Amino acid sequence: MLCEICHSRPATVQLTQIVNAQKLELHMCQRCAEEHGFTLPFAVLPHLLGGLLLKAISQTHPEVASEALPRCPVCGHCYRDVERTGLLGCAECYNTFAEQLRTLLRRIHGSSKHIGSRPPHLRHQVVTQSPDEIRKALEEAIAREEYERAAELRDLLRDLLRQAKGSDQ
Amino acid sequence: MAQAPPAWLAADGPHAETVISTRIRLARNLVGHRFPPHARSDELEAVLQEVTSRRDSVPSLRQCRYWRVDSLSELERRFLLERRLLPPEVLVRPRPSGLLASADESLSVIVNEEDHLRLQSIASGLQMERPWETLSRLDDQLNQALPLAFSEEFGYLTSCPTNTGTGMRVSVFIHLPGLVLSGTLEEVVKRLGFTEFTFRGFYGEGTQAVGHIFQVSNQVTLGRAEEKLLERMGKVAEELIGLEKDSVGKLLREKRLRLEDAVERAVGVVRHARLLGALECVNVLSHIRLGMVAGLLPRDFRLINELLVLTQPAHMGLRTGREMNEEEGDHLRAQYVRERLRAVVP
Ligand SMILES: [Zn+2]
Ligand SMILES: [Zn+2]
Repeated sequence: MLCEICHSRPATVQLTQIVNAQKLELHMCQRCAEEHGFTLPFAVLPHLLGGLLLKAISQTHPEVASEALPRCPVCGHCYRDVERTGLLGCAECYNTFAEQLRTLLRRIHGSSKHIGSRPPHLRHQVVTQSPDEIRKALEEAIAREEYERAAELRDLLRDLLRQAKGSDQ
Repeated sequence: MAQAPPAWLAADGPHAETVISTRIRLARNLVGHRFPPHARSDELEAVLQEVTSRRDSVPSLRQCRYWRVDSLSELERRFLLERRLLPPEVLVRPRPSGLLASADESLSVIVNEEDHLRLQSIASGLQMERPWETLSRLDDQLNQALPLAFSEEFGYLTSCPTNTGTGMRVSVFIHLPGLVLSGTLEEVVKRLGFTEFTFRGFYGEGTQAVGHIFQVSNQVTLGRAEEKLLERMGKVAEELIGLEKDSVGKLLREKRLRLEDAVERAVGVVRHARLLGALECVNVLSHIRLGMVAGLLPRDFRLINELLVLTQPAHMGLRTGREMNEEEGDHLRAQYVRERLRAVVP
């Protein structure tokens, strides 16, 4: 078997990755392994899944002439560039290709909606503003066991209701 | 460049007998610039300029040392790679990029790697809280100093969609010689399944895992809160720690001769080798470490952790400060290991 990195020397060593009970291997020659730092005791080993997933997804898409595809106004990428490289061109790509990315992100992460931390200046600002919407977000947060977020939303709801009451009087 | 070993090798964290270190990194990007893999070098220069000019308004970075990565020599870049301050990509093709690192190397930031900013915190043993606190503090400060790319729907926007959302990757570096020696690692890994987590190892020639050191990381970065991911990682790691301890205990009871043989062979190499290659060295040190875990050798996990890094080629090269051929390097390594391990292997 030939090295999967340089495609010229015989593969003698390998990187093994197990995720979701699935085993993936990257076979390579000693020299490529050393060049990539894999032989170091604390090498940060690369994820093998990303590229494979992207490839699998891109194969399911029908061929479209690339001139017809929308391009990102900031970096000029079309979605095919994303599929080819496995990388986005810039932050604006997330806007331009939002629809395709939702599908892709769901395949990679099982979700396309961010739940984690937010920049400090957005932390106390909720996109949904009506009490009903906040109530719904709160229920969702509880269902996801996101108790910190739930507490935040609960406070927000309380403040909002209190304000509403205040303006009635 | 400092030869003092980084703090994460000190073996003073929880479960340091089995877990060498916990590393957390966050991927962040600036608004309005192409991501580094697609940016021209003048754009990368502009990003570097933007970040370094705002450094004083980021308290966590004020005490950090700064290196311009693409003007370092290859040996220096390898040295920083051996310390896990740089990723391997910079050896092949360094783009205009920078590195900021605190004196004890528990906190570092790389500018213009795959993302504009990669924040990293490493701690000894299995501990999430301290590195996470360090990183979230820095993250908040950076968010206030620079316009970071964030969307309410997708979270932090990253170059690679496998990092989108939290941009967080937590990795635990775990020493599992007992499971390898008893031949049960494969079965254990299969049983644990690693849903949403990855278990990775590098296998040298003869399918021996290098240094019996494996890496467990989260696979998912979107749709889960950081605290949840860290909590789950802690559980996965603790499970592995328990299984590793059981397997060392079992080896001691049922296959003591085999265990002693493996450890004593390594002792023999430390005592008598005249030429010791870097890779062989890692495997010898791993067996000495196993001897310490099993109570067959005096315990000094800090020393053994440090040697795992200090015996790497660029560390040896920079310590002697002169060009060496492979044989000279291997000779020096054999001497160095013998001297440093004198208290453990008299
Ligand atoms: Zn190769
Ligand atoms: Zn773009």
